[in-house]
Amino acid sequence: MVNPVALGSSAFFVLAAVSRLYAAPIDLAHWAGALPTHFSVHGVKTEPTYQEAVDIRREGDLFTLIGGAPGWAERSQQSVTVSPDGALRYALCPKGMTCGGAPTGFLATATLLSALRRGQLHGSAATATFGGREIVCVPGERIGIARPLFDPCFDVVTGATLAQRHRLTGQFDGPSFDAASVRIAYK
Amino acid sequence: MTLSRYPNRRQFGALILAAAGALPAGLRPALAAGKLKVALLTPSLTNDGSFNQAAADAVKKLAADGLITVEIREKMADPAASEPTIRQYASKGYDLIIGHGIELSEPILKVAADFPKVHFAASGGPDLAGKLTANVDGWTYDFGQQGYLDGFVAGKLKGLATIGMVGGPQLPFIQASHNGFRAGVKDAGSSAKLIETYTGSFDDAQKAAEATRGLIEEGAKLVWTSGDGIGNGVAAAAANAGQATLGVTGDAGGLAKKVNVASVVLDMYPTFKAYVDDIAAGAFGKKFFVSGLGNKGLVLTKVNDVNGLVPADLQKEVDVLVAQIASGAKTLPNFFQ
Repeated sequence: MVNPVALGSSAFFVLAAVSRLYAAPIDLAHWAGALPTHFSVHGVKTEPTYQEAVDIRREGDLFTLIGGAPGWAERSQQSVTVSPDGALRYALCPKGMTCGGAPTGFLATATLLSALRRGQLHGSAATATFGGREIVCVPGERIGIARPLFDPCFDVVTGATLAQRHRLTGQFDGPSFDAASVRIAYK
Repeated sequence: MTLSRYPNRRQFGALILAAAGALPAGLRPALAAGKLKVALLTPSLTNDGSFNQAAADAVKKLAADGLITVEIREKMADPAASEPTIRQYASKGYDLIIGHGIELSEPILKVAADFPKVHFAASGGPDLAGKLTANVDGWTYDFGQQGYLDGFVAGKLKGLATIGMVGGPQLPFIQASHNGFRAGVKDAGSSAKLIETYTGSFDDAQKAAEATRGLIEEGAKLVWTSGDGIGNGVAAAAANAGQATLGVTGDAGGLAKKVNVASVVLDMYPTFKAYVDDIAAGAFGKKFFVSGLGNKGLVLTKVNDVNGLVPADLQKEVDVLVAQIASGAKTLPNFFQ
C-alpha cells in the first residue's frame, strides 16, 4: 500500500521541480510598473574576435548604454529618455551613431517603459533563467518593435535588458551579455 | 653519485634534474616535467564557438602536441574571482598563465608584478604594449587585416558588379576594417562598385537588416558586414532576398550556412605556441603579439559556395596571398590611418 504521506511529499517535490522549469507567466504591465528606477549593469558581450565591455544604466527616466567596441578601444555612449507620456527622445547620440526609433538591444528597457506609459503594454509572458537570474522575454511587437529578429529579455528584478532571444532558434543571441559576466546593482 | 661516460637512464634523469636546478626558478617545473604547466583563464564558457573557444582550442592543441599540460578556468570575467585564481596558479608553480580577454588584463598585470619568475600573457589593445613587463607578453589582433582578407575574398567572387558594406558605428577600429576591405577588393582585381552603410549602432540587428535590404535594392548581390553584433540582421535580410553575405560570424539563427560565403576568425594557436617557444628559449617577456594574416592568427573559415559565386581556385588564391604576406613579399598598410 502506498504511504499517503510519502506520496504527498513526492508530489510536492515534483510540482516544485516543474514550477521551476515552467515558471508562471507574469503580468507585464504590473511587473514593469513596479520596477526599480535605478540600476546599473556591467558585463561583456563575446564576439568571435573580441570581447566588448558593455555598461547600461537606468537613472529614473534616463537610459544609457556605453559599449560598442573592444574594452580597450574608444567606446560609444548613447542615452535615451522616456517622458511621462511615453515619448522617446535621444539625449545623447555620439559621432558615428544614428539614433532614432524605438531602441532595441541593450536599451530595450526604455522601449518597454515607453510602451507601459503609452498604455500599450498588455498581456503576460513566461519567465526563464539566464545565468542563474530570472528573466522575462517579451515578444518585440508588444513593445513596438517592428519585424523583430529578437525578443528582448529583461531581468525580472530590475528590468535591465540582459539578453535577446532569436526568433528562429530560440537561443540567446545578438545583443546579449555573457551570462557569467553580468554584475547588477540597483535601488 | 658517480657517472659513467654513457649514463644509464636513471643517471640521465638525475643529470636533467641537476641541470634544471641550476636554471632560473621559473623554468624548473617546465623542464622537470618535460611540459610547461599552463593555466588558461577565460571570461566565459569555452564552448561558445567564439572568442573563448578560440583560446581553449589553441591550448588543447598544444597539449595534444605534447608541449604543455593545461588547466582551463572559465567564467573569470569578474576581477574579484580572477585575481585570486591567477595568484593561486602562480603560487602553485605554473609556468604560464594566460588571461584571455580584456577583463583579465588588469588582474594579470597586477599579479604578475608579484611573481617575476612566472610567465603571464594578457590581451588588450594597442595601449597594452606600454604596460608589458619582463614576465608579461600581450596580444591583440589587426582589425584592418581582418577586413582586408574579407575584401580579397569578395573581390575574387564571380559576377559581382556591386558589393554592399554594412558597419556599425563609425568608430576608428571599424573604419580600419572597412579601409582594409576596400583595399582587399582592389588587390583582388575587382572593379565592383562598393556601396557602404553604417547603421550607427553596434548591436541593432534590426537596423542592420534594414540597411542590408537597402543595399540589395541598390543592386548588391553580396553584402559584407564588419560587425559581429549586427551580422544576424544582415543574414536575415540577405536570406529573404536570396542574396549572399560575407563576414557574418556565428550561426545567425541558422541562416549563416545558407547565405554566408566565409568569415575571417581568430586562431590563437600561433600566438600561444610562440609563448611556449619563447619560454623554452628564455626569450619570453615584454612582447606584444598581433594576430594577423601573415602569422595565421586570422584565418578564413571554410568557404561556402552561395549562389554559385565562389570560383574553384578561391582557397588557393587565399593561400598564395597569405604566403606572400608571411614571407614579406607583400606588405599591408596600417589601415587605421
